Amino acid sequence: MTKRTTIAMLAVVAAGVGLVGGAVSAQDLRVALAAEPTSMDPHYQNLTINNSMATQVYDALVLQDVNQNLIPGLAESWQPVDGTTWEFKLRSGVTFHNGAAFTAEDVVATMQRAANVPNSPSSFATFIKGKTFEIVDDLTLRVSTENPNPFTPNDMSRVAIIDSAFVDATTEDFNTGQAAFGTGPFTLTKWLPGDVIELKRNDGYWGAAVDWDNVTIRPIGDGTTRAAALIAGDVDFIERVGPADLPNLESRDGLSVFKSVSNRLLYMTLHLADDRMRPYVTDNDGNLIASPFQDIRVRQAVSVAINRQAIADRVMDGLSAPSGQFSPEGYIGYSANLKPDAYDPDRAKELLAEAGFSDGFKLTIHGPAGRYSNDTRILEAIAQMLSRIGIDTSVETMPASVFFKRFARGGPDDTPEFTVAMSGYANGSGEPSHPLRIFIHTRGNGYGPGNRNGYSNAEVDKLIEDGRASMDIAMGEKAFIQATETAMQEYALVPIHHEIATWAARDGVAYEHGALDSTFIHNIRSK
Amino acid sequence: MSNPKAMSALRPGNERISKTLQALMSKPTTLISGLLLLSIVVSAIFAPLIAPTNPYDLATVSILDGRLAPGDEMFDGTIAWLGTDGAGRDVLSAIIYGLRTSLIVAISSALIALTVGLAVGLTAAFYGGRIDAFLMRIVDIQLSFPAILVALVLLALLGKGVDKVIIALAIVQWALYARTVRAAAMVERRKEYFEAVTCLELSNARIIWKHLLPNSVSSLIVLATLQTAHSISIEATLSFLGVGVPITEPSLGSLISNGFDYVLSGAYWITFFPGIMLLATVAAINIFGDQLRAIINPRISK
Repeated sequence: MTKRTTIAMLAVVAAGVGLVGGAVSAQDLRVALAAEPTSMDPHYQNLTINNSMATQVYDALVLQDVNQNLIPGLAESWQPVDGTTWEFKLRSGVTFHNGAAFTAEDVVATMQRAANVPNSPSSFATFIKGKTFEIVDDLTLRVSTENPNPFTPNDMSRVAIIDSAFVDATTEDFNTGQAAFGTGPFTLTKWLPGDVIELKRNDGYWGAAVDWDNVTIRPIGDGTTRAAALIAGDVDFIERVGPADLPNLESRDGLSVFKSVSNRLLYMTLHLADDRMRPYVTDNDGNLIASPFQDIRVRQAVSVAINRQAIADRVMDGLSAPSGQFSPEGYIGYSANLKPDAYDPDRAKELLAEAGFSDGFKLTIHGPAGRYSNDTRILEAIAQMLSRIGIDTSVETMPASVFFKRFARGGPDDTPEFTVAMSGYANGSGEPSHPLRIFIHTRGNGYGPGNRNGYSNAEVDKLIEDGRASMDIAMGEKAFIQATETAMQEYALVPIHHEIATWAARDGVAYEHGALDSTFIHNIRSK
Repeated sequence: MSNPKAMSALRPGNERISKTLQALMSKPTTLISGLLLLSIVVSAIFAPLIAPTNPYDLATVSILDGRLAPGDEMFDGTIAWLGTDGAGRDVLSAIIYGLRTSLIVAISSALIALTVGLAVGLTAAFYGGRIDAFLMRIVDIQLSFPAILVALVLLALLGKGVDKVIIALAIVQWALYARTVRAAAMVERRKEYFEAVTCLELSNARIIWKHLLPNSVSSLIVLATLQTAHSISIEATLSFLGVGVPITEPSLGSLISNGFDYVLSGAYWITFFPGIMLLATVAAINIFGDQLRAIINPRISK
């Protein structure tokens, strides 16, 4: 069947549904998501889809807006009272869905439960361990740490608060709904795994009211099926529109598409240390050479040889934004001074010649297949672009599970394996020092677990450490931006682009989007 | 049976070859498939001379030429008669080069598998007994696994690369040759001339090499032809699944897979033309192989 006839048929179906379905209340919303949570227990697994679903039913002390800026939640305000302690003033008059009043007691009970959920695949303990919770009065809570921790409010934004009556409830109790009472904008009415999640408006919500009386959420894994469901009128809203379906949905009357530059960055690491690795970089005769990327001019040559706009236009179908740093514009840690390198192959050749590689060299670049949007095609495009400036490049891709293992410790003595690799990063917690701590700081002492190419700059390290040790958040952020600027100017890694997240809805439904590519039901608005 | 006629069948002379050729040419289907096959092989061998561009040279391929429709002009002025793929390769050139990769893989793996299979099959048939039982059980085990599954596992272990695909396909196929040649050799062993040869106290090697091998090999010619077509399909499947050849040097299978994501958005040519070529190649080899069998095996031709 050709594409046109499919569209025509879908249009007929859609028209039919429109006629019959006219009576459906405007305040009911039907949503199709690409995946479903692994549990309705908000403390079971620290997983993006679980967390975004949990924010519908539960609140945390601190909430995050669509760009992961911290905003008041169950705590009205918070401030440091000394070098290691934060004081949270809790919101008064808030009740759980079961009618119980919210007090500091509930926060302590929540922390106790969330850090100790049995069989948790990825525990929330990481946000809770090392913190002491002290109840000052019903609506005042102090959280202290051994060392200064400016990110205690960030950590508190990750943990959904439950009623202290359910401190011993099992994950199963939450899945069946017996214990699923939060303070959030919706109440959970039904969850049939693999089939449907039903939410109902919480009329007593303390914050801005949501626009929907009832919400039905269905998981539809396949992108084309999701788009077809929207076209047919089976659902009102979908997430993750595939690039292939995008032109179709955009050109259709009665539907609108929402796009947003997400904080998911695609980047390359270039090996900077002096050790001879596996033969992924050789001279033109095939003899192993030390990594040419120790020379900043070669790293710069690679960066300016990449035509990021061409990748965005031709490979990503417009669904990427060329980037020169970890954060997209408007997101925490963004530096206005860092622009993506402009494409300039002649300059790249000059830089290579200046570094003594006028004849180029041979290189194999590695990356995952199927982990990021169009990953293998991007690698292929980069290989073309590097070959153009004289670096004879070949590409090796592998399944993501294999790639990440070798990327982290496939080399001798469990060292990272690849000379040049492409990977991705998204800041899940919204904590501004996270990418610097993981990728930029010199490896060791809990720092730099993702620093695989041996980048090390004492000045940058100091900025990161100082920023993390100061309770003055504004100063810390300044230090982080400065560290980011130095690291990016030295090509600690080579940013390529931020992926653009997509949603689509029928007319009358809008989405308030930001840098997060996950979907938050309370941000879906009726208009 | 042990008359001159049988002897002439042992050592196919020029006369027999020309007769076979004559028989092949007399049928239009055979003639067409033969000519198609010949042109495919010739264009694969002379790919660098025939193809308008070199799709494997990353320094000349550009994504700015990506997904041009058939007949569009590429950046450097070349007309892409069959369009370009997502990475900006001219599909026509990519088909010609891809065909080359596919044929190299299929023929090399068939030759390796044939050699190993012959050795195992003849040894089993000649010595019989425990050796035979042992070798044939290995063959049984090998044949009980689906070819594509074995190839997938092997490539997951070996990694990507043309050489690795050849090794994987040879391992997948040798057992079939071994089984076939053993059957043919068992028949020969029971013939009178073979008893006569055995009485001459010749060395085992000489008996196998000079007498058993030439008489058992004819059935393999047909099998090898059909298996070559089969190898091309398996290689295409493996590359389609992304475990075959490197993505920068696509074979027919990886070209088809390459374009698969674009089918819904209307860029049919990336998948369609390589698919047609794959179909034509496999069909031509199969038809040719069938006709060859009909001519070589008198029971079918009469």
